Amino acid sequence: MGIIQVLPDNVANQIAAGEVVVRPASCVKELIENSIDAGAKNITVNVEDAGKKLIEIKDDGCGMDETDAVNSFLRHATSKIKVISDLDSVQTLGFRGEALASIASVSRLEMITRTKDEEAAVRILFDNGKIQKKEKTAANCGTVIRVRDLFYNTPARLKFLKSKYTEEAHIIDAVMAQGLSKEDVSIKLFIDGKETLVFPPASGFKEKVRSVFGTEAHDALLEIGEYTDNIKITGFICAPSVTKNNRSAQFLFVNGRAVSSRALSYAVYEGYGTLLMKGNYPVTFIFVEINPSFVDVNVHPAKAEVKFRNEHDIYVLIKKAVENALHAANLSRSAYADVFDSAQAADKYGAAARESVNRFFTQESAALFSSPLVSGPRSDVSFQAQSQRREYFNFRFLGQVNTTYIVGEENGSLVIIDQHAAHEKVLYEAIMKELNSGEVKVQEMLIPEVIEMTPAEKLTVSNNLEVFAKMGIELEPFGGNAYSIRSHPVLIKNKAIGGIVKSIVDSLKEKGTASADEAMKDAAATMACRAAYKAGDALSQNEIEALLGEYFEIDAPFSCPHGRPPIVKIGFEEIEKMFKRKL
Amino acid sequence: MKIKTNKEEILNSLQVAQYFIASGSTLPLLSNILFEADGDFLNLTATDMDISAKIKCKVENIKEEGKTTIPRKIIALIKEFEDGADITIESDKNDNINLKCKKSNYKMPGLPAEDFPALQLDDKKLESVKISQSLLKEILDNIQYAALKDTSKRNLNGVFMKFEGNKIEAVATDAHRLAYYKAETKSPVKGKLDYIVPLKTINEVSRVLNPGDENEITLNFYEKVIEFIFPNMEIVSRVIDENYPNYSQVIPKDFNMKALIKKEELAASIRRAAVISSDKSKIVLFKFENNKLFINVSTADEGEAFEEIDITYEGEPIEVSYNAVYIMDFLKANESENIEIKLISSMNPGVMKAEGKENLTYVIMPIRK
Repeated sequence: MGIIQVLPDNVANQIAAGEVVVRPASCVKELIENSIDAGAKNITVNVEDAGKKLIEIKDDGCGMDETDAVNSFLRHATSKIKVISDLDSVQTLGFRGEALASIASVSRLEMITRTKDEEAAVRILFDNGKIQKKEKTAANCGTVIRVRDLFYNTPARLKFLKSKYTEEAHIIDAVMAQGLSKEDVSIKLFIDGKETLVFPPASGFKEKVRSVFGTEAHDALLEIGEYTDNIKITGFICAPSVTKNNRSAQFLFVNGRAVSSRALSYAVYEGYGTLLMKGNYPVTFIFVEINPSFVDVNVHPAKAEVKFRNEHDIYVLIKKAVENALHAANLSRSAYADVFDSAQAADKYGAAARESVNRFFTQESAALFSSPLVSGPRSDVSFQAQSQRREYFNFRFLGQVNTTYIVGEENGSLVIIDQHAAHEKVLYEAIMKELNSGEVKVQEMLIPEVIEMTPAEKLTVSNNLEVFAKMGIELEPFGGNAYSIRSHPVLIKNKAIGGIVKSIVDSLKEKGTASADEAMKDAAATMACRAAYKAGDALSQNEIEALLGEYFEIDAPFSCPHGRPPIVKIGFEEIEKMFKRKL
Repeated sequence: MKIKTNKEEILNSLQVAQYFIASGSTLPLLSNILFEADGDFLNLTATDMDISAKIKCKVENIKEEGKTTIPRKIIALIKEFEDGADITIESDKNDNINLKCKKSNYKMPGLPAEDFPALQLDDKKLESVKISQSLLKEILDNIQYAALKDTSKRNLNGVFMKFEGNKIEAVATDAHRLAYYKAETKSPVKGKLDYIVPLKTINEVSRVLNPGDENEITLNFYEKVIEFIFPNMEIVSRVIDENYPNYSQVIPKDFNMKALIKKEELAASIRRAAVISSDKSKIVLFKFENNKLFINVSTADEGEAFEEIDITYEGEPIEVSYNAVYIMDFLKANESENIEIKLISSMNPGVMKAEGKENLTYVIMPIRK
């Protein structure tokens, strides 16, 4: 019938490109990996128009002779493996032989390369699935690759690229991962001619962290190190005083390759234990060295994920490494628990306590002391909300449960209110009301707070300065990647503003929100969430009264900005059913 | 250990110790109080590991020297015994505690004193300074309210204290307003020392300080710890090992306007005006003009407040908005009859001074609309 046809090479390459090169950042990543595999010590990356116009990678690696250069455009052409069993011992970052062919198939690509043994360099222009031009030229030893008009022949892909700065942020993140992964390689990134990221050579890992994440992160670094016969874990983690509200600063390198692994990132999280607040993620740089035969890097075309033969062992080892480092810094129990010599000493107290309690208390007497479900002051204060919401007119406050929920009675029903969600809703509505009326009340700072950012975060800020300004957050560049906060909305009162601004930046960066309106809403929601009471905050009766008063004033109080319900009502009937008084 | 004591003798000391017991600690030992009976005195120690207090308590009779730790509920228990009653407290070698008072007999499990985590002093004392109780209390009470309550930004969650020669400077700020006090001690320090003392420590020290007492207490300075030595008590606290902002550059020196105001009139007017607004942020607008101060609080839908006060005013008319809470904090903290407000413009930090307190300066940032 002839319906099934073997695809021509250039089409096959374009399809493969869909997996390997999903965005300009992946192109950057693949090409840097090639340079590193070629033994380059200095790599310069130039990006124009977020990589859509130009991605140029210049290295001083070993270069290629003419035959190799031509072959490198063939799919599955690689110098790194010869037979399939080589995959078990692959030491280089690349090996699939897909990258260059894939990139070439979706762009106009120029390559200039020379080995140290050749007199002249070879220049190859590749477009439209084949080599258009091949000539001798003069150039330094090493390779230059220029990727122009990326995705020009795959309009669908081009259309789905995010905004310029989102793509730039991805590129920065990609270069960052590569720059951190190799101790001895110097990488520079220029975006539209502006030096954006510099990893100076041989400056040591901690200095690299300082240059990218700032002094605060640098000063909080703790070295980790654990090993068994087959696995070696090294690297650095930040003390819990420095966190992000997403996983973007958790770097994991397996045999020098930046990868992500949910399981291992959970191991890190577990290692921190209760030191991290919910929603806070640590800043970590973890290097796993493992016999290559124990790890399968060939599960994902972009090699962003890997599979381990002994994942559990690595999990346990990473968790241990993190715990030990935190412990050595005396951070493991209380932030300032250095009066204790060791965890053993602390455990001894616990054991001694348990023992002596057992000696004294029989089970019956212990039961007498078990705490009641509902604690807190009982009062007959009714919150007579003057609002239209007559439904809660007769709310009677009963108490606070586990310093998290406010409980009350309302016409025979049991009402449970999540204090965080309710307060968040109150603040969100207040912020939006001010924003919509254009009358944000702004508290000027007497002492501006300086916050340090990564280059990608800085980009997010500079693209959203107007959003911040409208919200009353005035940010001023403060040298390097730092900003100083000069004012903030009066509404957030006595919370330290720095953490709140950082959360807003994280959230804007992650979402890459398109319209200023959406960005504003998002920022308002983040701000409300951060400034609100948390679960576990013990509130005084005055505070609860004030909160409920404001909460019942809101027009639509039944969902928090994140969509969780702040209030749950259990009707009397339902309670009766629970106790089998009714069916 | 075995001691016999009068209820009131020990209860007073225990109630002081109570403030220093860690709340909600996972370590059972920290919920206990360390009892050390030695010679003529019983020493009581409580700590949350950031701050620790040792209280010297004179008891009627130490029958057997020794030490142990006892759960904090002993305080509630002793409070319930009959006033003036004699109490015997005894511990055996397994730290089982036995309490007797008349015909009552109570047992509870203690924990070994050896494991009690006393806050360690560094080996080397750097300096020490003597200061009268009344002066230290005056300094702390006039500034501590301005410190940041949010513990997430640690360097502002304390009071900055700087000692140079016989000068003391103390500063507290939450980044929106700042309170500054300078004073002199009789005994100078060599060189220069500065510390950020945690707000909790300041609150506790201030509570213990006796306002009318001219007797001096001793402050000992270590690398990362500060020690307050009272006649019957020692408080040891960690200091916050971070940089404090450069406060001297935010305190304005030259002004264009100056207003002298009766404090009670101002406080009463603000209190009344603030009632109108249920807003989270109480914003008051001040309008200074021709020896008058007009105060206005306006809300979108809850109404508006106008107040007028006679003042002494020098300078061009000006309008400026402040957070009412920041103004009230200053007015509440001092007992002066008159206060002075000095301004440069409606955008610059303003300065408030209290009559008779030349050493106190309060700086406050306006609100922009």
